[in-house]
Amino acid sequence: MLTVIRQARTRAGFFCSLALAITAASCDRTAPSEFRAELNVQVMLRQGLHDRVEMPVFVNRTYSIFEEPQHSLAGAEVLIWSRQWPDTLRFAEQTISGTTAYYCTTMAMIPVTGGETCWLQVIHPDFDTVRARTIAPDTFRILYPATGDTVSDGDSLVFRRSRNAKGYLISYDYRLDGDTWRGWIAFPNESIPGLPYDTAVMRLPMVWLRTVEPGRPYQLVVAALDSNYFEWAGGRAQNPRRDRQVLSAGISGGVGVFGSICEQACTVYVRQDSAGRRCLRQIDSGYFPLKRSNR
Amino acid sequence: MRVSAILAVSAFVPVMASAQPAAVSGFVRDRATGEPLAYANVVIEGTGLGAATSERGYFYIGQIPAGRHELSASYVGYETVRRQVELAPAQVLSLVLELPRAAVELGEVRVSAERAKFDREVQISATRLDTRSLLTLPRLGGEVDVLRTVQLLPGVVMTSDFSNRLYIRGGSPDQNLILLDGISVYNPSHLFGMFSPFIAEAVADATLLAGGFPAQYGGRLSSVLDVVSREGNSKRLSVDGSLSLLAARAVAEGPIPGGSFLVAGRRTYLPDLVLSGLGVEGLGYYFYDVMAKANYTRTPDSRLTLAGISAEDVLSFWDPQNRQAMDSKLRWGNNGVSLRWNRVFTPIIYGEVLAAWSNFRSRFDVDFGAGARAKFKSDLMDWTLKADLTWYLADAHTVQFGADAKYVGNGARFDYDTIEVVHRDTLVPLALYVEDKWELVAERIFLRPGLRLAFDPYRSRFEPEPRLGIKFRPGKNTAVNAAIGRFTQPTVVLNSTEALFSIHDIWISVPRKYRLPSAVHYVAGVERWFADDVLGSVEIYYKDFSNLLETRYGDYFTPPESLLVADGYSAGFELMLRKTQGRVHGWVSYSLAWTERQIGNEVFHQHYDRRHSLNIVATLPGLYRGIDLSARWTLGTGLPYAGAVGYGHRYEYYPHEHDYHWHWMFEYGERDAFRYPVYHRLDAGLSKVWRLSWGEVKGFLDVINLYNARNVLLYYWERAADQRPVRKSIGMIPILPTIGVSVRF
Repeated sequence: MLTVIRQARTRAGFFCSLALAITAASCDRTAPSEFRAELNVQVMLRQGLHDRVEMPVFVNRTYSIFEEPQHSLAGAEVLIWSRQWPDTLRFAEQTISGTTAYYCTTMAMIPVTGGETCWLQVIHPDFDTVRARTIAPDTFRILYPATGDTVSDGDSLVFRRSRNAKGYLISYDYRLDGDTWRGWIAFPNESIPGLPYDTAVMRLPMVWLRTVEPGRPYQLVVAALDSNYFEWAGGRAQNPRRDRQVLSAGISGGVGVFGSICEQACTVYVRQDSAGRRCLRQIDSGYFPLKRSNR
Repeated sequence: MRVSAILAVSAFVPVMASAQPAAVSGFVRDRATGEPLAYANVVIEGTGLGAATSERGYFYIGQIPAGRHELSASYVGYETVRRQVELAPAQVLSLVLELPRAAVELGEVRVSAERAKFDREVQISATRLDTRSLLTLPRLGGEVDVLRTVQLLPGVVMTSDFSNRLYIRGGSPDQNLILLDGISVYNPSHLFGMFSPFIAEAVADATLLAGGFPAQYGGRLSSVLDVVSREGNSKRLSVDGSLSLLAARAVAEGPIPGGSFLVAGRRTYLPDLVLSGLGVEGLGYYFYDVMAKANYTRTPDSRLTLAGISAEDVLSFWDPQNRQAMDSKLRWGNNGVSLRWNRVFTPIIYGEVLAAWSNFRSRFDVDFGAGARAKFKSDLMDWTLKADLTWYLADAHTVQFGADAKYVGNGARFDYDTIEVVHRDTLVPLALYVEDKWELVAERIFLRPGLRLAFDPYRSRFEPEPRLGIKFRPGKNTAVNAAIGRFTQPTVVLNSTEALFSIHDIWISVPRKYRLPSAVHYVAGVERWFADDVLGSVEIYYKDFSNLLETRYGDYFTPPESLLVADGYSAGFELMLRKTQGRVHGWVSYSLAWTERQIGNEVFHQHYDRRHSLNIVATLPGLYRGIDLSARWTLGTGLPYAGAVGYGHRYEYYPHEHDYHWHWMFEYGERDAFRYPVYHRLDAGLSKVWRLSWGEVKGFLDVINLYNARNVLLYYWERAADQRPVRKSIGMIPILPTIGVSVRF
């Protein structure tokens, strides 16, 4: 009898030890990754359409997921300079519509030109210093359509490529069923064909243009993007999931972006009943129809 | 000439080796339908000699002393058949044993297929689910799903209610070889992963080999799921139809001259009804499946089987105001055909030649009107030619050998105006294998050494894949098993398995710049029969993965040149207690597992790294007034995910406004920094059969997620009214009752 009890105890002890060992060995790591607050700086230098607009420098910080956010961060020193400029630009803090940004007080003097290299530095006593550099894309020209043209399904958008542009952004803005839809699509430079290569040819975004009432003007905006802003706007994050955006593009010491773009625009009208007409026939020579006949 | 010479020699050698003893070979079949019975037990009474039938119902028993013997064949659910045989010295007697179905299932026969396999086979980490196991489980939307049942086995991780993907012992779904009657099925999913294309009523059995699988199988790193469809009733014509909330289904089977046929079809209608009921315009969806099989027996020793599958999802969406402005149709699915020739060349050589074709295709056609179209077309074509021979060399040795040649062609083309992307590659993998089932000490120690030589045409080299299985039986009811093996995989997928919903996988051959992904499996375990119908097993395993090709984290699709090379391992402990017959049958399975990968310096747990999984599956036939009850309960600890650890403002510039808008952007932690909450779910189903003069009617009521557990599918973030980010969750399937009826005549 005693032997039986002893055996039962030994067996129970064995199974308890096994269960404890499994429990101990199988604990999941649940501690979240360490979070460290950094400066969040977002600047975009614009040229082309609006050479003399105010260009804000958004400076804030990142927040732990458990923290309450603040919409301003005081005490930052923001500097932007280029070798072509006589002086370093210093930005002053302003709050507009509840958002604090640093605006250049000498805005009219920012002469960003294509191919120019600009530097950014943001210093704040509580955070690492942010440094960044951008090379502004060259100005470019939309060849077709021209302002005042009437376009239709099947027409192309043709523009001279901008030197230094990593990609292009086509902006849209239309009303459908009472709602206004705004946004853009970014295309990598190498994905856009063209013959000769310094010309880029792509289909007009008729998905949006078709929503424009015939006879009403529509502004078509194309922007050439430097590599930083292309990564920020249309790039793909290397680490976060696909539905998450790039946190940092061209910035060291913090998160955000220091980019530059060159915008061009033309105002067109849409003819909804003339599908199939090829715009390229209207252009002199050197271009081929987009639809290849050998398919 | 060479084949016949080999056959002649092989037939001669054992006869020389054992001139006096006799042998018995043949098939065991269902008397009512003529279908072969796999793993039936055939015994020469009083001698200790016996065999389990093969998957095709074939058996061979050698070394029988000449004289008069009683031979018995038994199988669970069937009456035992006994036959007196008189064997002359060196005689080989061929028999076909037809077993009648038992009037009462709980009768005399206690030897199940599992027990027969336990007694005679060296199969490690193998679990077989027969039609009965598949059909008695609660149904989702009224449909039983083979893959969802497989998800309840130990070592298999289910990542969501919406996905039937199989993550087996730390392997990703593309590392599983899924076969239907020899046809490689590359993307077995419908409704974005909710269902598989296998119609459960047309399936005879599904065997999962979760690791250390035999040399007969190759081309995948993790596991094999071998689904075999039913052969059809060779004695009488019968039709079985059912209506459930989701779909209508019909199975017809019957005799044809020299054989039988089976045709099964299913088509959904619920999504269309739901969409129109909810007033959703401009959207349509359905899927359908067709499975068919026919077999023809020319002589008792020669049999031809033709099997096929056709399955497709069709999703349409259009502009409800003006269909000409936008009209799209997406179609994707599987087609496959196999032709199998089974032949008993001599009583000791049983052979099988298989030719199979499999095609996974997808066609997306979006018409924007006025000639503007976007088209996507992809095809995966798999041609297989395979020969397997089983040579009952001597009583202690059964040698299996064969060759396997494939042609795998992938093609994809995207065409939208100026954008045209074309991908095409082909691969011709070849393999030879040989394996011996060696009974080293009679009824005590079994070995299964094997070698598979896989030729990798891209790198022009042979990949040796040695395999070894060991079984030691210290007692009648206990077996200690071990297996080790190397596996390589010449094809991989380019899309992330982390996507919540999948339409299809994009397969390619492993590009030349990479080494072939490989894995080494180490498995050890103990099996014990606690009663005639209660089997318990414990297994531990370790899989060492090398040169895995992983998609970039966050990508839905990674181009071939950008795939990341990973190493890693998975390890685990599994426990299963299975009751195969009786008033209550089913199983309890528990798995403890770790899965880790390393890419460069980054070490992480995969998104399917579930530490603990518990499944309880029970069926109680005839619980009350002929009502059957079935239930399953699943419990799993949380799966890892990359959660947000921080956030900040993000300003977007809108050129049309020359202004900025802001929203939150989130900083995410490591990809396994967090885990979702514990997953648990109880499903239950009731069914009752009414037998009428013209046939039978079965009604069923199933409830998925009976106590409405709020399992989390994913988290996302929104901006609250006070601008703060707020975490929200999307749940999995809530309580979902379904009713249905099936008719058989």
